[in-house]
Amino acid sequence: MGIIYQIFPNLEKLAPELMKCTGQTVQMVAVSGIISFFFGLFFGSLLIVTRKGGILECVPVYNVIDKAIDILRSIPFLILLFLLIPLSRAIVGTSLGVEGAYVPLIFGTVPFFSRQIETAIAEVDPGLIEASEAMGFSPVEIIFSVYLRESIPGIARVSMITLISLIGLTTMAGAVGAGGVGDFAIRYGYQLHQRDTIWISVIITLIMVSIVQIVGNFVIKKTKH
Amino acid sequence: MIELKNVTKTFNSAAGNVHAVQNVSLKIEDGEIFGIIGFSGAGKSTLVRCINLLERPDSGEVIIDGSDIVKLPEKELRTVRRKMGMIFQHFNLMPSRTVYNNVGFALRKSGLSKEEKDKKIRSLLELVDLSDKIDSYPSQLSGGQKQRVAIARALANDPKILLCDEATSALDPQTTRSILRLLESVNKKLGITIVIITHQMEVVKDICDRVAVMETGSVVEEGRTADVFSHPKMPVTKSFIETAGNIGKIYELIKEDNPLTRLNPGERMYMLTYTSVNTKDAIISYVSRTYNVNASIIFGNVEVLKDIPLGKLVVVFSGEKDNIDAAVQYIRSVGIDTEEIK
Repeated sequence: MGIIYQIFPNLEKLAPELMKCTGQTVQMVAVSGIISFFFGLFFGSLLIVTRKGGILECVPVYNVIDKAIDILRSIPFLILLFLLIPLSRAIVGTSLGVEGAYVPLIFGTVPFFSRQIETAIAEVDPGLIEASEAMGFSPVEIIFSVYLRESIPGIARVSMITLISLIGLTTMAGAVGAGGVGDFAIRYGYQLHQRDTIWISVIITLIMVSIVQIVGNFVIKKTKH
Repeated sequence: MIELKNVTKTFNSAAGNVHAVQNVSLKIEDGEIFGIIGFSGAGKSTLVRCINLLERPDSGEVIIDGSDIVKLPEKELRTVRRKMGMIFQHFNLMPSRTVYNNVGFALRKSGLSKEEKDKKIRSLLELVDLSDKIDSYPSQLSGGQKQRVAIARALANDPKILLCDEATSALDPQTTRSILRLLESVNKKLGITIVIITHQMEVVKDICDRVAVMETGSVVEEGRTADVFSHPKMPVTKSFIETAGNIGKIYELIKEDNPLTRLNPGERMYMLTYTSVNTKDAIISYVSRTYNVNASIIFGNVEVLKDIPLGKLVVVFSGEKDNIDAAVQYIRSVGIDTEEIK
């Protein structure tokens, strides 16, 4: 322990605060991650089945989602944070703190994730869809039992990438008062010039990213045949 | 019975309209093995997909056991589809599921209990001789084994019809034969009507009772396999026969002016096409003796088309011109197609 406090002189004093901020980051990632996951699966699948030649072809629906994703993805996240303040107040009741970050984090993640899911599902061999239709399965059954089920390794891969980028977004949310590791680094590292706290933030983030990668790779390994 | 009436399907694309199937009418009887042969792009894959409506025809009727399924709502169509198995060139097995679960997948809506499904899956895998691969994944199987799983899956819901879309095209000749034997036994044991789409003459020759030849979206010739291939009317049918036997080789030899095909003055070369009736008769030696001509067989091929032998001989006659004419006339008179090729 002694040597650690020598390298990071401010750690002992700030340990409780660091724990709290790490907890906030985990909370932001978990809540907006889970919600974004379901929205992403939904929109990603919708893109696949409504596109031209899809099993529920409906080009107007495809075009609307497609364009919405492009527009949302082109807005920088920092601007999105401010832009969504009224919406966040309307939905969660606040635009401050951890709760206030959920709406912008979800809006920042879902378009990217939907696009990734679309790419992952698109890799499913069209022959499997044809075989399933020939076996008399309905479009909904095909979405769940074939498209999603058969692309689990791909979904795990893109979820991993998205989760890592979501961790990045939460640090930005920290800059506007949402708390978390990003907020910790700004307050103590940047504003109070305690450089060691920046390194501590980097290490905490690295640990989180590594956990995501280890779990993700494990899932891919287990589901790929 | 499967009956197609004036089925037409056109694909619209930026490059123009493709008339994949044009006004096709066919009747496929219960319990028969029916082949649809054509070169790639002839529309045969689209036609077979019109039978289970994976492709909806633009016009025409698809009558299965007396009712036009084109008019059925989606939900009822799915029930009909469960009674029609389908296998594919690239097998289309689910890579994330074991052999057992691939077959089980087809049984999801069968309404059977867990135990009944288990029993069914095991008996199907026994039928296709793959009981030892029950827990393997498709990626661990050979092409022939994959197609066997696909057949087990297609038979899971006790279909009356099995549609085969180029089912042996990705397999080597030996595996092709074993899959054809399996299809034949399925046809005989279970009485399932089989529709086979292929560009391989061997497949049709080997197991099809009747055959339809397709070209540019239309059925140009149809009938009992032996009849169609012993007396082909259309050029496309003839070219299939050439691709199957080695008899087509003679035309190449003639073109190359191979010494074998060079004729001396007074010699004439004929292609004789035999059918079942006279394959065993001693025609050549008879005309040789009777008309005083020499006949030398320079090339020959005897096929067996679904139990009926079909022979083709390339014969060079030499002798007096009148004698040769008389000999040829006699050969024609006994029902052998005779064509002077050089």
